[in-house]
Amino acid sequence: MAAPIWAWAFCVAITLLPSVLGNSEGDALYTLRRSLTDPDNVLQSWDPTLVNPCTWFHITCNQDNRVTRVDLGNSNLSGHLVPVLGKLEHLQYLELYKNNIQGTIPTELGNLKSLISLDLYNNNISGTIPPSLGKLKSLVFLRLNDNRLTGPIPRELVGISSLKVVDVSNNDLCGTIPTSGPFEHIPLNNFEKNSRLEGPELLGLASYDTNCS
Amino acid sequence: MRIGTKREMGGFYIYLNLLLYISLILSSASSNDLQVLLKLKSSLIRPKASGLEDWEFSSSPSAHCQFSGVICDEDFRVVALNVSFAPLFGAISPEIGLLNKLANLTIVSVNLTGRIPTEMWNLTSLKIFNISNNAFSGSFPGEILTGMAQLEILDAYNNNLTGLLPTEVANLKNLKHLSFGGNYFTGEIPEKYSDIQSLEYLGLNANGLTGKIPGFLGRLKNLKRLFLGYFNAFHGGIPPELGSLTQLEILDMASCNLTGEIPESLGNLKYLQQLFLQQNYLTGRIPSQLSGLVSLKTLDLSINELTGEIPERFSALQNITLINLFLNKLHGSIPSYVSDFPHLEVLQLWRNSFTGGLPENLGRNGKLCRLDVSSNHLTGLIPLDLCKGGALEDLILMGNFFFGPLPEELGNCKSLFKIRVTKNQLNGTIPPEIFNLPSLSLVELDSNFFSGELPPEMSAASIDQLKFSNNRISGEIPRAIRNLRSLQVLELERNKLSGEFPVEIFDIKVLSKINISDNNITGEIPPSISRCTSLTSIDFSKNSLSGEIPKGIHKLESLSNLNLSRNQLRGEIPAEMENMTSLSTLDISYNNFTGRIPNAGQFLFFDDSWFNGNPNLCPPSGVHCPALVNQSSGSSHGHAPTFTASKLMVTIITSIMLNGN
Repeated sequence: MAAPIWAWAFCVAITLLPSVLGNSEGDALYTLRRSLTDPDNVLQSWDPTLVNPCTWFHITCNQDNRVTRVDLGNSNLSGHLVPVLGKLEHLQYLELYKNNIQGTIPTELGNLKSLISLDLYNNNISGTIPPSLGKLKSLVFLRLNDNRLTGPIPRELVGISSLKVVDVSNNDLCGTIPTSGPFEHIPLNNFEKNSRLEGPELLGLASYDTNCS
Repeated sequence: MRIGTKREMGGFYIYLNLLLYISLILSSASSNDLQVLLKLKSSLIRPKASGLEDWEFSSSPSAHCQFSGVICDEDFRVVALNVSFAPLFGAISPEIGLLNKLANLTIVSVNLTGRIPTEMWNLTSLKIFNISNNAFSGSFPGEILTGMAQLEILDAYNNNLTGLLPTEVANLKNLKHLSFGGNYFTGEIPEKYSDIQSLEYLGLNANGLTGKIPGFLGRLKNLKRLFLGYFNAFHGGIPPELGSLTQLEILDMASCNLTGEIPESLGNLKYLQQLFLQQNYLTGRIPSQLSGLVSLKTLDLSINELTGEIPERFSALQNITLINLFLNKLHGSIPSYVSDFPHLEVLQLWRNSFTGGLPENLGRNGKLCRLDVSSNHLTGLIPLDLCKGGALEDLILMGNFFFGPLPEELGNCKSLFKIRVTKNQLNGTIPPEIFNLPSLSLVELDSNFFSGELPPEMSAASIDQLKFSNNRISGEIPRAIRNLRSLQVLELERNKLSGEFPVEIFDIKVLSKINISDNNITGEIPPSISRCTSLTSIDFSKNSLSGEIPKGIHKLESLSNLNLSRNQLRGEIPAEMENMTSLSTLDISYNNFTGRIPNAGQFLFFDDSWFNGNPNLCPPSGVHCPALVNQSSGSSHGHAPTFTASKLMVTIITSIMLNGN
C-alpha cells in the first residue's frame, strides 16, 4: 500500500531527524513526555525532531546545549517517570514536584552525576527509594515528601556530603533514620508521618531494620 | 435425450449424479461461506472487543453477501473481504482457507495478532493480500504463496513478522506490489527477488535485514518505488546497478548503515522524484552526474560524511522542492542558481563548511518555506526577498558571519514562525514590525551587534521566546511587551537597556524566565511581580534597581532562581522567603540590604557568598545588628538610633565578618 509511505510528504521528511545526532537527551526527555499525561499541554513545545531540546519550554541548557534543568513543578502532570532520564549527565535540577506522577523512582536516576536538586515531592510515587541515589555526589536537595514511598531510607545516602535538605515526610517508609554524615543536621520533622519509620538509628548492637525491605 | 442402452443409462445416471453433486457443492459451498465467515468473525474479534455486528447467522444462503465488507460473485461465493480500521484484536482462523474464491483480502489496522494461517495456500484466486498495520507474528509462511499465481499486491507492512524473507515470493509472476516493511525480518534480501520482473513497488524498509544490498535488484526493470532504509543494517554500499532501474520514482535507503560513495549511475534515473540517502556513512563527493535526475523533487543526503562541493550542474534540477545536505563535510559556496529553482521550499545546509554568501535572489521564487544554514562559514548580507511569496516559516542562520541588518521586509512576513540568527555580526535596529507578526513563535538574536530601541508597539500574541542577549539594544523595555501574551522566556541580558521596569510586564501569565542582567535598568521591582506565578527564574543582576524586594515575592511558588545581585536594592529580606521551598539559588550580593539574613527554612541551604557585599546586612545571629534608620523606607521599626560611636563600631565589625566569608 502506497498510502502509509506517501504520508511521508516532504514536510515530514525534513523533520526526520535521527537520534544519532547526539540528541539522546532530547530522546530521553521525549520518552518522558510520552509516558506522562499532560492535560495542560505544558509539554507542547517538546518537539523531538529538533536538533536538541534547548528551545523546549521548561528545559534549560548550558553553553554546550546539554540539559541542566527540567522545571515541571506544579504542572498538572500524571503518568510515570522513565529510566532513560538517567542519561541526562549534565542535569542539575530535576523539578517535578506537585504533580500527580505515579509509579516508581527509576534506579537509573542514580546516574545523574551532576544532580543538585531532586524534587519529586507531592506526587503519587510508590515503590522504594533506590539505593543508587547514593551515587549522586553533588546532590544538595532531596525532597521526596508527600508520596507513597515504602521501604527503608537507603544508607547509601549517608555518603553524599553535599546533601543539605532531605525531606521524606508523609510517606510509608520503614526502618530507621540515618544519623551520620549529612543526616546529622537534618531536622527530625523531615521524617515525620511515616508510621513505620522507627526513629533515629542507634549505632550499637541492637538491630533495628527488621521487617523492612 | 433418448434413453437407450444400459451403458447410456449408466452415463445418464453419472451425469445426473454429477449435476446433483455440483449443485450440492454450489449450495453447500455458499452456505459454507456463510458459516466460514461466522467462524472467522468469532476468531477475528477478541472477547470484549466489538465489530462486525451485522455478521449474523441467517437461514438465507446468500445472507453473507450483504455483510459489511463482503462482496460475492453470482454464485454467492465470497470474492472480496475488506475489514479495516476497527478494533477487533483477534486473529485469522484457518477457516479462511475455505474462501477459495477470494480475490481481495484486505484486513488493515484491526489489531490482529497470531500467525498467518498456512491454510491460506488454498486461496488460489487471491489478487490482493493486504494485512498491513496489525500485529501478526511468527514467520511469513512462504508456502501459502505457491498457489497464488494471480497475486498482484502482497502487503504485510507494519506487523511483527520475524524470520527470513520468504523466497516463494519470487515465483509470483504478476506481483506488482510487495511490502514487508515495518516488521522484524532478518537475514539477507534473497537473490531470487530479482526474478519478480512485474514488481513496481518493493518495500523491505524498517526490518533487521543485513548483508549486502544485492546489485541484481537492478534487474527489476519495472520498479518504481524501492524502500530499503530505516533499522536495516546492510554492509557495503549502494550497488551501482540500481542506476539501471530506469522507471524508478522513489529510492529510499535512509539510515541503513550504507558506506562507500554515491554511485554516479544513479544519475540515470530520470524519473526519480525522491532520493533519500540520509543518515548513513556515505563518503566521497556528490556526483555531478546526479544532475541527470531532472524529475527530482526531494533530495536528502544529510547526516553523512560527504565532501566536496555542491555540483555546478545541479542547476538542472529544476523540479527540486527540498534539499537536505546538513551534517556533512561539504565546502565551497552555495551556488547562485539555488535561488532560481522555481519550486524550492526547503533548503537545509547546516553544519558544513560552506563559505561565501547566500544568493542575493534567494526567496524570489516565492515558495521558500524553511532555510537553515547554521554553523557554516557564511558571510554577507541577509537577502531581502526571503519571504517574497509569504511562505517563509523558519529562518535559521545561527553561527555564521552574516553582517548588516535584518531586512525590514521580514516585518511583512506573516508566515514567519522562527527567526534564529544567534552568533553572527548583524547590526542595525530590529525591524519593529516583527513584533506584530501573527505566527511568530521564537525570536533568537543573541550575540550580534543589534542596536537601536525596541518598538513602542507590539502585538504578536504568539511569540513565546524572545532572546536578544548580548547585543547593543538601548532604550526602555516597552510597555507594549505585555501584549505578548504567550511570552514564556524573555532574555535581554547584556544590552544597553535603560529606564524603569514596565509594570505591565508581569501581567503576562505564562512568563517563566526573565533575564535582564547587565543593563542599566532603574526604578523599583514592581510588586506586581508576585502575580506572575509561573516564574521559575529571575535575573535582574547588574542593573541600577532601587527599592526593596516586593513583600509578595514569596507567592512565586515555582521560583527556583532569583538573582538580584549588583543593584542598589535596600530594605530587609522578607522573612516569608524562608518558605519558598523551590528557591535553590538566591543571590542578593552587592546591594544595600539591611537587617538580618533569615536563618530558617530555605535560608539554611543558601551559600554565604550570595549575601556578600551588603555592608549593613547582618548574619542571622551573633553581632548586634545596627538599627535601621531609613527615612523613606517603611520597613524600619523606627526606633531611636543608638550612640553613633557604637553603631560605627558594630558596622565595621559586621562588614569585616561578612567580607571574610
